[in-house]
Amino acid sequence: MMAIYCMYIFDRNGNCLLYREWNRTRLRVDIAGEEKNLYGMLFALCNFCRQLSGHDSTSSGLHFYETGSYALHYYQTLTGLRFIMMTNPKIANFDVVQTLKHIYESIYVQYTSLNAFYTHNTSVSNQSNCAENSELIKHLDSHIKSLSIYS
Amino acid sequence: MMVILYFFVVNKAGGLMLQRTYSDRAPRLSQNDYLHLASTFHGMQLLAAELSPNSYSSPNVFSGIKRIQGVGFSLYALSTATGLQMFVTSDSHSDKMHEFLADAYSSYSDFVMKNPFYEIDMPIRSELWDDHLKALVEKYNKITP
Repeated sequence: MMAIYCMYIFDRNGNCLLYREWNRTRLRVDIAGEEKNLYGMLFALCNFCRQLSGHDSTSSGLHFYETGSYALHYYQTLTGLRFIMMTNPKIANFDVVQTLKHIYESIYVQYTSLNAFYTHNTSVSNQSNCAENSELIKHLDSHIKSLSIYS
Repeated sequence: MMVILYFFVVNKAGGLMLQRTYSDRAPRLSQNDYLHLASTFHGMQLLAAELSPNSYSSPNVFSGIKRIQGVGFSLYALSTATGLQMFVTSDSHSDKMHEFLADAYSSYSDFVMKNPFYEIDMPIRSELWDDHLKALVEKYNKITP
């Protein structure tokens, strides 16, 4: 079924640190524009949710949203890092937000904060110099492929 | 027990046509806040459709937001072919909310659209529809777990 489409990681200033895709049919024509739109829309959506829920807590207010063609799952860390995953809207009962939290704690933190050569808030995609980034991506890929909803 | 909190109707330009609060648990916001929420929601629908990672395989698949799961509330939205949007918030998840929206839309077409004095896309003032909505909310509050 190929339920997982793609994933983004943003820092708190709106810069996209990582983009990975596993199963996406629509081509990315304007990458910078798309990233800005996504970050801005989620920023507005989190404020919307916070206002509607009434709890003015530190949580981001949003877990996920569903449209006709995809579902977007959102996890925001206390430092403002945003993990976003787009999946098939029909995956019921699978807590993708927990998966995102696990990815942050077990994969992302291991290869960035615990890596002495990593500069804070820089991109972790393959293009940058750090060799550990490709390790991060390899681990991320294998973790995603091991999920029950992946296929 | 699921409780319905808010009900909004937004026109195709993002303007608020109706806003009702159905529970004390819903946070009290100002009228200005409601207007702002309605137009934000409208904008988000368009952006969400733009950001879809899949090309539109069929014209019947609506790519705007249908459901939002937030912390402490759930939102369900209905978008019609004419650009009207309705959304309802509740304090917990229930699959029946899409039926509620379908019922609300059907009674909208009866009480609002068939009123010859109603101007399209203007704020809705219909006592009959208000009563009908209240009855619908009570019905769905009872039947959902």
